Order: sequence, then C-alpha cells, then structure tokens
Amino acid sequence: MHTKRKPILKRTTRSQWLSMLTLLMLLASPAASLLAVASNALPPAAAKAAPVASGNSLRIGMKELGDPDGYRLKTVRTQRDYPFTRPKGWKVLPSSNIRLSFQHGANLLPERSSLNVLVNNRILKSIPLGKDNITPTTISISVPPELLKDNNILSYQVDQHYTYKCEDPFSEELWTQILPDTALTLNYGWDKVSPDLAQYPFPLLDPLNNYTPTVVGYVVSPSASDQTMEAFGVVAAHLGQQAKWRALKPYVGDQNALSSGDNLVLVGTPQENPAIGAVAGGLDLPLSGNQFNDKNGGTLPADTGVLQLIPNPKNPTRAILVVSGNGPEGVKKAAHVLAQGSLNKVLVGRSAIIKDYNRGAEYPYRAWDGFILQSGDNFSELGLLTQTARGITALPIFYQIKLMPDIFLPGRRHAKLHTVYSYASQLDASQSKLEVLMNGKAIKSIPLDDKAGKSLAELTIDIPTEEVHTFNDLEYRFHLYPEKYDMCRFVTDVHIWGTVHNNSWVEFPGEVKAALPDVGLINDGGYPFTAYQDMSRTAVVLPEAASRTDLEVMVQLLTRLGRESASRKGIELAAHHVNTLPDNVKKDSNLIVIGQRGQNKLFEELKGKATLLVENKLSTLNEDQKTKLAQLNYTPGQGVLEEVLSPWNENRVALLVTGENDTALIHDAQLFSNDDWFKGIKQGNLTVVNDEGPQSLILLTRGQARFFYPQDLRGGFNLPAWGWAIVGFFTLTGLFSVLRFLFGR
Amino acid sequence: MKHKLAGGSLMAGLLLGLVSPTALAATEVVPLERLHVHDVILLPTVRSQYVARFTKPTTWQVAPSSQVVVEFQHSHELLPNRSWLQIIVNDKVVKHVPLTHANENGTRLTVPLPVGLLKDFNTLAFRVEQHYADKCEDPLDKSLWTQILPPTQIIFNYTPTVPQVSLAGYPYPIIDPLTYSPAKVHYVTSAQASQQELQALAFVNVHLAQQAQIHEIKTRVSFEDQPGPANEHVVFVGKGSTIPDAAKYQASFGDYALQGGQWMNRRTGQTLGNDQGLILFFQAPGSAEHTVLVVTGNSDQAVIKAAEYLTTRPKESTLLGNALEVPPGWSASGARGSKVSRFIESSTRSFQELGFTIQEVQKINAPPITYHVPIVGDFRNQNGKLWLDLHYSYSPQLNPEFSSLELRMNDVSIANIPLTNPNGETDKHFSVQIPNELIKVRNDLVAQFHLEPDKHGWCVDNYVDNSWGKIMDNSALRVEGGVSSRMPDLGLLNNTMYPYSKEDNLQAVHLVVPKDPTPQLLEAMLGFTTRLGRSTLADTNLRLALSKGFENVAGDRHVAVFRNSSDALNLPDGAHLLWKPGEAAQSLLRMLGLADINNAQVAASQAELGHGIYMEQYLNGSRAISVFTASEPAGFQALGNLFETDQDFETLQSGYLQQASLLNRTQINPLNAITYHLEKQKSGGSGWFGWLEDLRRWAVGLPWMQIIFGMVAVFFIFLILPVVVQRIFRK
Repeated sequence: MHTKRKPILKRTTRSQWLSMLTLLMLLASPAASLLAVASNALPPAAAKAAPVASGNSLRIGMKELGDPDGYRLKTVRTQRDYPFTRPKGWKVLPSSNIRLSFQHGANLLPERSSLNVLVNNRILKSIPLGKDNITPTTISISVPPELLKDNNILSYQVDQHYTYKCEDPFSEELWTQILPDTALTLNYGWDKVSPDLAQYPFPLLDPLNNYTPTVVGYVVSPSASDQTMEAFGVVAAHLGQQAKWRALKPYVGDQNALSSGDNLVLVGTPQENPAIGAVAGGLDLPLSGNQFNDKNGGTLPADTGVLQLIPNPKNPTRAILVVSGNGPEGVKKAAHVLAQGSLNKVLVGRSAIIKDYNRGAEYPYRAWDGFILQSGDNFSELGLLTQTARGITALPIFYQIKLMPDIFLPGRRHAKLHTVYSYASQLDASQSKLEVLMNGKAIKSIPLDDKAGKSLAELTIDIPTEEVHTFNDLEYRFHLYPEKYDMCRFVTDVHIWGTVHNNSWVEFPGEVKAALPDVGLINDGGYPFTAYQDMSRTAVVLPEAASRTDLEVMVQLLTRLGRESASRKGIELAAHHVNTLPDNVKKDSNLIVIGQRGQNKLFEELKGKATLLVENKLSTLNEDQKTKLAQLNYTPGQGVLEEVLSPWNENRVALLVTGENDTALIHDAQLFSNDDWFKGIKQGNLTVVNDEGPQSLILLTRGQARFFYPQDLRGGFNLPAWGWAIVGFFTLTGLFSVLRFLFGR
Repeated sequence: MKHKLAGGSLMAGLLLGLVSPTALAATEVVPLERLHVHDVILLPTVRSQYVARFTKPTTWQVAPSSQVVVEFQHSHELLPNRSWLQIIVNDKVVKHVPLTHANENGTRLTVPLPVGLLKDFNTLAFRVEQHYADKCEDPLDKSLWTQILPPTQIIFNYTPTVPQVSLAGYPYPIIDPLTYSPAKVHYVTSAQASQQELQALAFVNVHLAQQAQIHEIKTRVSFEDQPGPANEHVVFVGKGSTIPDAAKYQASFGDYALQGGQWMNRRTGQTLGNDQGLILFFQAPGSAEHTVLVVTGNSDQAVIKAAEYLTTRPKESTLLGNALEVPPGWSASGARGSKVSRFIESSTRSFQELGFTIQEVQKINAPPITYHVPIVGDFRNQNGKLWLDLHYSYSPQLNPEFSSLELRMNDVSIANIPLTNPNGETDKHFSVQIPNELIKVRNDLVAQFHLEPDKHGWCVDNYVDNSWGKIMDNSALRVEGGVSSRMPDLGLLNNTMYPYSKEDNLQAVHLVVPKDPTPQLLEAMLGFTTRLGRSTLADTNLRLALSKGFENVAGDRHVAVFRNSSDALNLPDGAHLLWKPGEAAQSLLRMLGLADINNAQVAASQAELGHGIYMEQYLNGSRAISVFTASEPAGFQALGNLFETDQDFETLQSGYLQQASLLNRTQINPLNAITYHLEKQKSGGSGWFGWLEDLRRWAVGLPWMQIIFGMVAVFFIFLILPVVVQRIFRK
C-alpha cells in the first residue's frame, strides 16, 4: 500500500547555511520559499500474478487478468474487458478455450438477460441468464485461433433486467458474477526461432509474452576483464529495460548451462569464455583458433566487436546471443551497440561486426519517461491519453500519476490538480456529476450542470501534499444521467458522455532534492543509480577475485535496475574489479560495491561510513540503534544492503551489497529477483535480507545523510520559508538605504 | 499490301477476341474483407442495414451457379415471430430468414447470386428487423443485435472474355477498377535508358496509378521482355533503338514498324521524325488477358512527348485507335494545377476541398459519419489551433431532450450540439476547437447524429420516424495561428505521401536515380511513383522531374533519391541540411556520436552491420530529401513492393529513418522506425514567480556567480544594514 515517508533529514547543514548567503539578495521571493520535505515514495503498482503454464498450455485465470476474486458485472448493462496477448513465438491451437464459471441474480428476467463472451469484438457465446444458471455454472467455449492477433481483448458483457417497466438501472438485483475459477486456456506449439538481430531482444525476450517468465542464462567468467564485466552489466541492464514489468529470470550459469536449452547470453572473448568455442559450429561468423574471422576468412582486430544471434542447438525454440570480440575492447563495444536503443535496430541478420562505438551525447539528468519532473507537467507529457466515458453506466477513467522520487513536497501545503474536462449537453443537472478520486479516496465532486455541455472546462482541486506519493492512482468517475431522467419514463443514454483531456496538469509546491542515503528509493525507480536513465555515473565494483555468486548478485541487481528504468539511448554503466577501479570512476560514480565482507577491499575504505560492514562497528552505535538492530536478529547468513554517502564525492552514494558468506549474497540476489521482496524494501539506509525477505531501518548518525540537489547532484541552497522572508526584508531595506544614501532625501 | 495484311490481322484478332470467350471457366472467392469489411458486421437496434459494395469485372461472364454464402449469429432475446434478416442484392431481397432460436449461433446460409441483376457496381445488403418485446420496447436496446461473420463471401463462377483494347478506353483494361486483383504491369526499358526515357516511364506509371486510385498496382521492370503471369500487361517505354524486344509484336503495330531500331510509317515508308512521339496499344497476340503498350519514338524528345501526350489531362480527344503518332506541334500545356492538397497543413480547408461530400443519415439509429482527415502540420509546438466550422441541418419534430449531434475526434468526444429546434434547422453553424492533443497525422473525425423522434417512447408502438441529419460540404477545418512542420518524418508518406503530393500534378517532385540504374532500383522508383500517383489526381499534364544524379535539381522541389549503397550521395552544393548527408546507417551513427566515418567507409560499415533496406529523410530548408537505399538488388524490389502493397505500406511509422531486413526476395521483415530523440531536459519554474525560480536555478549552477552574490550579500548585510539600523534607532 501507499505509505507516507518521513524525512530522513530535517536539519540544514552548515555548508548549506553558507550557501544561502550567496543568494541572499536574489531570492527573496515566496516562489523561492521551497521547503525541504520528505519524499512520498511508494512501490510500483503491483504486478499481475504469473499464469500457470503447463506443457504447451497456458492457463490465464482471473487472478492473472487482475481480478483474483472474479468480477461482478452490475447495472443494467456493462462490460469488462481483459487485454491479453499472443506471444510471437506461439502457434495457438484450436483446442484453446475459455472455461467460464458464473452465477447471477435470481430475479433476472431470462428472456431479457444475457451474458456475452467476446474475443476481439466477436461474440463467441451468448448465454441466456435463466433459472438454470442462477447458481455457479461452468461452460467451455472454444477460442478459434484465427481470431487471435498479437494483442487481444476478452470481454464479458451483460445485458440484464429484472422488470419490463420502471426499472432502476443501478438496482442491486442486477448482477452477474464471473467467478474466480474462470480461465482462458491457450494451447500452443512453439515456433522454431529464426534469429535476426533486427528483432532483438526477440527471441530472447518476447515483448508479447506477458505470462511466463523469460529465463535467460548468462555465461561469463568471473575472472574476465573489466571490459567484459561492463559488457555483461550493460546487456543485463538493457534486457531488464526491455522486459519492463514482465517477469525476467536471469541467472549466471557455467559451462553446463549450454546443455540447458534456455535462452543464453555468452559474454567475453573466446579466450575468456570457452562456452563460445563450444557453440562455434553454429556461429555465423566463424571462429578459428579462438579468433573470430570475417566472412572472407580475415581475422578481426582485437578492438572489433562481434554480435551473433543463433538458435540454441539444444532447443531450436530458444536462442543464444554471443557478445564477443577478439579482445576485451571489442566485447565492450559489441555490448554497447547492442544496447543502443536506436542503433541496435540497424543491426540485421545473424551477426554483426562492430568496428567502433562512441557513447555520443550525454543523457539528460532526470529525464524519466512517464514521471512528473516538475510542477506544471501535464498528463500528455506522462504519455497519458485523453479518455471518454459514455452513458449511464460510464466506466471510470484511470490514470497513474508518477512523481519523480526526488521531488520533496512540504507538509501542510497543497498541491493542485488541474483537470481539463468536457461533457455532453442535455445532462440532468441535478444528478450528473464528476467525481475525482486520488489513491482510492474521493477528493472532489462537481455537478455537471451546464445544459449546453462544456468543452475544455478546467477544474482545480487542492490536494494536501501528504496525500501525494511517488505513485498515485487518479480516477475520474462520470455519473451521467440524461435530462429529466426517470426510471418510469423512456430515456436513452447514447448521447451523453464525459471526457478528461490529457492537457490536465499538476502543480505542487516542492523542490527537487533527495535525502540520501535511502535504500528505499531504489524501488522508486532505481534512484539514484538510474537518475541518468542510461545509468551513466553508476559503476559496479566487484572483488578482485570475483565469484559466480558475486556475478549472480550483479545480474539480478542490474536486471532490476533495468526494469525500473527506461533509457531511450543505451546503457552506459561501468563495471570494474576493485583492484582496477580507476580513481575518476570512484569519484564520479554512484558505486554499487558487491562482495562478501573482507573480499572486496573497497569495504575497508568505507569502514567509517557503514554500519554492519565491519566487525566491532556495532559497539559504536547508540542504544536506540542497537535496539533497532537487535530486532533484526542479524545473523551471518543474512544479506546486507547498505547505502552510504560516498567519501570520494559528496554528491554520490555507495550501495554496499554484501554479507558474510555465499548464503548472504544469495539473499541479496533474491532481494532483486523477487518482486515481492524488492517491493518490500522500505525507507532506511540499511536493509537486511533473510529467508523471510527484507527488513529496513534507519541507522544514521549526524553527518551521514544530506540532501542531493538537481544540476547533476551538485550542492545547492536551502532555506525555510521564514528564512527567505527575513532575507527578503533585509534585502529590500538595504536596497532602500542605498538609494537614500546615493540620492539623498 | 503487307501493311494491310498486318492491320487486317490485328483487327481480325481483336474481333475474334471480342466475340469468342475463352472456354476456361474460373472461380473467384470474394470474402467480406476484400469488400473493405475488416471485422464482423454488427446490425444493432430495432432495424438496421449494412451495405457492402461489390463489382462485376467487365471481362467476366458470370455463371448462375455463383453464390452468396452468409454466416451469422444473433441475440437469443429476439422474438422469432417479429425478427428477421434479409439478404439483398441490388435492392432485391434474395433471402428472408426469421431470426429464431434455431439459428442464433453461427448459422451458414447459401443463396444463389442473381446473375441477371448484376451490373458493373453492385450492392450486397444485410437488413434486420429485431424485437425483444411486442410493446414497450426500447428501439436502441443493446440486446437487439445480429452479427454477420467474416466467413461470409461471394463465390463467382465465371468465364473470362477478351476485353476491347483501344487508346480511346486507355488505361482500360490495364487499369480496371472492377477487378478484385491488383493490376499487374511489366515495364520494359533499357539499361542505357536516358534521363528522358526514365522520366517518360515515371509519367506513364504515375498516370496509371492516378487512374487506379484505391486499386492496387503491382509493377516490375526489366531490360528485356521476360515472360510473366498471364494477366500481366507489358509496357515498353523508350526509343526504338533501346527497346528492340518490342519488335516481336511487329504484327500488331498497324501502320508502324520498328526496323533497325528506328520507327517508320509503313504507309509512307518514312522514318518518324525526331520530335514525333508514337503510342501503340493492343491486345497481346494469343492472350485473352494481357495487353501491350508501347510509348516510343526515335529520340528522347519524342519518347517524352509520347508519354506526355498519353498522360495529359484532360485526356486528348484525338487519343483513339491502337496506334497513334503525337500530332505535330503538340506540346504539354505547362499549366499549373488548380487543385488544392487533400490534407491539412497550415491552411484552412473546406470539406469540399478535402473531397468530403454532403452526408445525410436518417432515423433513430443513424450511423456515424466518419471523415478520414490527414493532418500533416504540427499543432503541438506553436500556438496553432484547429477549429471545426461545422454546417449542419436536421429534420423537424425531433425530441429536444435526447437529440443531439455528437462530435468525436479519434474516438474522443469533443462536443455535443443539442438539436432543440422543433422546426429543424438548415445550414446551421457551429464551431469547436479540436484539442491539440488529439491531432495526429491520420485522424477519424466522427459526426454522430442522435436522432430521437418527438413522439417516441418505450410504449409507443407506432411512432413516426422521419428524422434525418445532414453535414454540409461547406463545413471546414480552420487553421489559426502558427503551425510548424512535422518534417523530416517518413511516416508522413503513409496515407498522404506528404510532402510529395502537395501538388496533384507533381510539379514540386524531383526523382533522382543513379547514372546506371538496375531494373530492381527502377522497381523501387516505380513503387514510389505508384503510391504517389494513387495519392493524387492531376487536372493538368504531369510535371514530375527526374534526373540521373543531382545535376539540375531545382531548389524548390522535394527530392526522392534512389541509390545503391555503394554509390556516393552527392547532395546539391550548398545544401544546408538539418544533419549531414550520408548513408542511412551513417547518419544514425553520427547522431549517436559514433566515429565520424567518411562516405567511402560507409558502404563497408553498412555491409558489416547487415543487409536490408533503408529509408531516410532530410530537411533542406523547407523541402524534403528522402533517400531510399538497399544493400542488395532484391532489397529494391522489396522496397517497391512495400510502396505498392497497401497492407505493408500502412506499417510505415513515424521516424526519419526506417530500416528492415530482407525476409525473402521481395518481402521484408517488419519495418523498424528509428528515431533518436531525447527530451530536452526540462527546466523552468511555474506559476507567478516561476522566472525567479528559473533565475535561482541558473544561479545555483554557476559557482562564480555564487561568489559574486555572496560578496553582494556581505556588502548589504554588513555595510548597509548597520546604517539602516542606526537610522531607525536614531529616530
């Protein structure tokens, strides 16, 4: 559920006070009186449950369609639509069917009531709602495969009446319940894959497969070069971005993974990664003596990248992606070009030789698609559409409004929701209204009382800032009644409608600044590691002698960061072993430090910052912190996720992903792979993960947290409202005095 | 004597063809989809009708065994004794079916097609009368429905006959709007074809396409007359010396002969002059289905003249017979077209100009009136506004409480006009601004009349429903304020072929081909012109320009370049392009900051990146330069096919670069629309003090400014403030 965050940081630091003075004269305005407040971070909307796939049969139940308890079709006439897809690689069989289980109100008139089952607007079955199916009834309806497209809609539509005259269209007697055991079963065969880089990430990831988790095995050597590690991270994060909300189950395999029949990604030079040699027979660009040749037989230079997408010889319905080159630089180039949002579409066929790569223009800071970046952004900029609702039984209009997690809203102030709406003429002014709900709570209801209707009218609603979170569900309910509406008189509702326009916008008092460290912000879109959506300024630091478990943590974490973000360009994160970590990367990046305690020497440099990182550190905690820690029942098998301010750059953080043994690191990996666990990360600088999931807490002492500001996370100025008022007063007085001094009386 | 024999044999052949149908019977199955019905047909309310239109090709002798197969289902709530479905061909009821419980689920009916009633253009209507109660019935109740299902089809059994071929009827039978299959045209020209000969080729093809309009055309090009499908028409374009294969039809040339690469008049024995164009059009010997067209002469000038004469509009009255010399002294008029473009760019357009006629609907269940409006101007960035100035009429005696005219744009309701005058209205005016956020390139503007008869109600059994509503063609879409261009965007080609279709006679279009184009590249060029022709309809002679290379390209024309990936792209000198000219892949590579590659290296890079087709568009001032490239010859064929096949062409999406890999010889994988666009980082405050907030943010970003502001602050606080305080306390 949506919960309110409390600010981690309430006080203003000395450096900020000094900074304030510098803008003393300039900023004496109410507009600049932006308070530091807590962010309202919320986990992303709940993902739908994964359907059950057995053999070549997929059961998509009501739970998977988003209505786990079934759905009640109420009123005289209504329809419930469920979108579903047909995955690209599937050949749906005629045995596919809908098992419909339903019951309905006992007083429905059988000759006037029916339940229609439609797929893509075609009525597959029209069922009279008679006395014989008042109690739970189950029927099977065939789904003709030729009716299915890539994107489909399954609809349940009822027309129900309990009387021939004076009927209340909203009567409680008018109901039909689609029961929870209703399911659409798609029986299908797999098509053999015909890999083409132009279609990447298909077939590794099918954008139409919303049902079964995509399993991708990565085969990469833990001792491979930094460039190969970077390539591995780039491919994993990019694939995560492509998967978005879809279930993606990556794992790091060894040589034996080649016999798995899964989708595989082989990363590294042929020398680093013997698995590449093992599939050499199926490669489009031949391998000779551990060196790639072009099609004319010439050996490719070491700094040239190679991409190959081939069918998995063990399973022709799955593919193997080879991200390689004859040298580490080539591997890195290949990965970056593959992850380039636009450029990878220029790649066609089964293989490509990548001669050069330059990352190009800087990705803009905070350019998050679909998020409100600042006060005044409108729905259109969030990618939301103008929508219309029609008739007496108009369906509600839903929008999800997402605020950047680094937007701080001051308490006891109001945000404003400006809604642009239109409605039809000839509405019954006494009954028709527009109701607005925010996060399930009604916040405003206005009459629709202009007989001529209205076009592009504006409604402004004040919303307490405490009610505004990172993820907000906004709902508009048009209650539409035709003029002189009367149950016992003929009316029609075909002409009445209401529209919400997507130039509606949100205004709020607030400032862009994030209180860090806060691991809770990671599940608010991966902040701050995804502040640049291409993950530039994010670096993964592995132990000098990395293990496969370290890589497992890395792939799960980066896949998750990918799923939380959306780059329009490419992925620019860096990855290094700690012994080869360049100083500039250490200084300029938000670091993700992975490894068991004692195995990554960067932990030693962070001793002064971290809480659970080093032994004997616990003794420095105060009693309150020790009590909190005791509640965690910390044991060596628990994973630890801790975020600290970077000692090398006051505007960067380091995320320590650690534990005392392999089990602990596996818990860390699970934290990122398990949707529910990930959503369970709460506000705090520390999260401990055990078999039951994560627990977060705040163990901060003075100076261990601060606000981060925009402009590339540089420090900024901050004053409370009263501070700006004083500054303003003195400035004006001073100015007045100067004028008097200069010009006399 | 020899000439007479030849002419005689031609005439005899034609007469024989006309009187004796070929014996082979054939069958053509026409499903609803081919009649432009893409889903089930829903017949709602108490009574409604859907009319599908079908044709009978002129060359078909339809047999009485032809059938209409109808598959339907209906609501179980219908009263069998009061509900029925009628199948109607050309206003004659050919089947009346009561809608009973026995046929409520997927019922299939076979009805003989009334062959005697068939004309060139015919209608197949499905009409229903549906009731769920004997009285007190809501005529719009949702339980009143019947669906005609997609397996419904017309099965024609027919015998083909030989068409009459004459320049008087040209371009029939090459273009026959009555047929169900695309027109197939095989162009034969020469590897050495000159610029003028290729321009003539483009003229002939554009003209055919303009005649075809919604009818598909499939073209191919070769440098010799290779055999093709039986129904493929052959068109030779070129000088006599460059199309030697045409000589095999010598017997059909009438008074003319091709000898030693030169055309001569058999009657006079004279070689045709250098400015004398010649047009020959005849039935291919031994074939019932295909014709041969020869557009020729003894010089480039003569060939282009022949093409201009053949394609000029209005059609020349002397264009008759099977062989014709262009009259001496004839020249193309050069008049500018008077037609305006059929899309909204930056000017107001009336419905009439957009090709929308007066539309009238009747009765309580009046169907929506849908207008497909292409809008190529961009209303998002400037203060442009688009208004709908609607002129409408409606009948008297409407129920003022429920009757209205609803306006929808792209499925979103934007206005409701109450129809409240008991006496009706004539040419009433109403204006509404179309919200900018709803404006796309392809739009559906819907006017939905909700017409409720005045005395109508649940329990009124016999209400009189004479209601009607009308949208007049003097309605307009009015543009106010500035509208910016959406270019460069290849997606604008889809539907409108913008900007190339701005002038219907193509006077602002210039095609560029290489010095030595391959037949496959010419196929891509012809595919483009086919689509361009189908999107326009000139009222003058065509003014399309073509050149080999970029020499002599007028600065005010939109350019379409067809080039091999190995050719350098030498855009006009001084061309100031939005981004640098180059290879499709190269331009993208550069934009993405990839290593700067010179033109010579580009081909190699692309070859290594993969094979496929590339389309890109640049902006040079206000004109578009589109470049079409393929990495291999088959790619050009696929490109041509893409332009000529409606279903494929409609997949063209917005983007200045489109790429696809080859699936097979003529087909491509789905197109990738490649756009590289990063939102500008948003900045700027909002509200009353937004500018101060902007200033503050700006200042914060500048360290040196901090120092200055700090010093100023110190100055005020420590020097001025004490003075102020002193003054206050002194007082």
